[in-house]
Amino acid sequence: MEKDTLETVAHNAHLKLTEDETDKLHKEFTEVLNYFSLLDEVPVRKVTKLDPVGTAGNVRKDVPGSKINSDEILKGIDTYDGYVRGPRL
Amino acid sequence: MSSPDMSKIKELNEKYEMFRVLNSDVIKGDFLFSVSDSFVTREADTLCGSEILEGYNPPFDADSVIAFKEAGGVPIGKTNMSEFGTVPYTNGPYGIPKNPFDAERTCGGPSAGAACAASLLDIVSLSLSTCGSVLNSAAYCGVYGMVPTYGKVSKAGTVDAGSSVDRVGVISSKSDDIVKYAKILMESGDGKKSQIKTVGIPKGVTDNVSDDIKKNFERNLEILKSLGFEPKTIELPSMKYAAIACRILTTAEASTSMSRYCGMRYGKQDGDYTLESDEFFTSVRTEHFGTPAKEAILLGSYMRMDGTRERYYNKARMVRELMIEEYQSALKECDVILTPTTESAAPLISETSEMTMVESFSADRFTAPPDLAGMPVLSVPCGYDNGGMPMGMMLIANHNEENKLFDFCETWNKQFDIVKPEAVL
Repeated sequence: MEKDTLETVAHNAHLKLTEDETDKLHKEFTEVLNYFSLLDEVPVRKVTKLDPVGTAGNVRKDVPGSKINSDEILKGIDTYDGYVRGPRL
Repeated sequence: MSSPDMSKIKELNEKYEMFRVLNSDVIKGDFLFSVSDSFVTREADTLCGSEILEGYNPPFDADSVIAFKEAGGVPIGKTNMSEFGTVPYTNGPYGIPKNPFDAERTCGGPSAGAACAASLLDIVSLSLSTCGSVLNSAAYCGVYGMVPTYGKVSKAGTVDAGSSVDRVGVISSKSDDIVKYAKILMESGDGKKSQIKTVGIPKGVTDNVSDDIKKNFERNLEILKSLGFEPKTIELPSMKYAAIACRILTTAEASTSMSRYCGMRYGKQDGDYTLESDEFFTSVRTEHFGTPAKEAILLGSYMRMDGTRERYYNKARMVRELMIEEYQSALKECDVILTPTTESAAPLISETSEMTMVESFSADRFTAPPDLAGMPVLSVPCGYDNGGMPMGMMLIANHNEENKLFDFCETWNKQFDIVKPEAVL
């Protein structure tokens, strides 16, 4: 991973790194990616299954309803006039 | 059951830091259980080992917690874990669980507090397995750990790390509790006996493990033979790729799961609202995520971005399919597969804090492959090293064949004398 790629990834992930953090992570991630490159030995094949373990049949019953009321959900949220508060867009 | 002595539990917790928060009320119920901090609970806030969720008081219980409560259980507290289950060894702001057998040693990562609590107290622990964490911690703490087939236990109410890998598991010092409580979670258990005759041993499985683990594994193979089991060497050539693939999938998926923590709706909501949105989200996330979460987000984002996705994320998915095929092919020749649970007994906490990311990944060498493939797994305590530290061995069955693991659990328990730590309550 190039350093400027790391900076771009951090920016897109909404994380700000100091110069020291960037240097340290760049070194660590280089080692990690070298280790991960072992997967290059695995022949490419088409991934056919979105559900490889076969869980599709094991689902809960589709019964409408909710056990939580909206007042309880809103209790822990910073709200303004009944709306969830957030920054300027 | 009689109420536990909470003052003694609090005293133990001050030394061993297994719980982030303890239930302060008088506790009465049919049984007690601990809940990993990655499960939402009404009684206590849920932080998942991270400052960014401080103040998050869920208005509901996770499905597993409901299942235990409906069976007569009472939650005793929320156990400490690594931040969002992203690293194999806990190193967070709320406490580092100390190993019950040696307080200088680790209990693991995402399930550290859960395994510590199960070992020291007479309770069952609920935890989320990410890259095999339930079994690692169970082995380090000398107790039983079991994780059913992927999809068999509801994950509603768990804070996901790697959604396609995470599974709910149970940890206990008693083998019959493992069977009983796993069945409660699975809402099944038809009682059908499943006999194990042949035990598959992957070729080279004891290469590069500690001497104690190797000798102990070989000793236990002889014990299994004397009990009538037939060991058979099998090949799992993709196992060496599976731990890497598991790590890639969990970090990639965790990086998207953690995008929701942005200073709105959950936890910390103390950002400066005068900032424009990108700056706001960046400031909150930078300030309140710890290093493990940041590293997982950055690495995981890289793994799945355009230009690298094919090489890492999609390749990891290919390895998953390959691993499932190899397990299922091997399990036509044997009833279960047996490996050590970990490469060594629990390392020193001081060593784990100096490890690089790559060095720490070795904790998952045996437990990550079955987690990747969603196989049901059981770790049993099976010996103690020269320093008295516990060691575990792990059985892997085919999907939906948990009964084989339950039967082995009962058989093994009859002939293995578990050593309890000195500090046990």
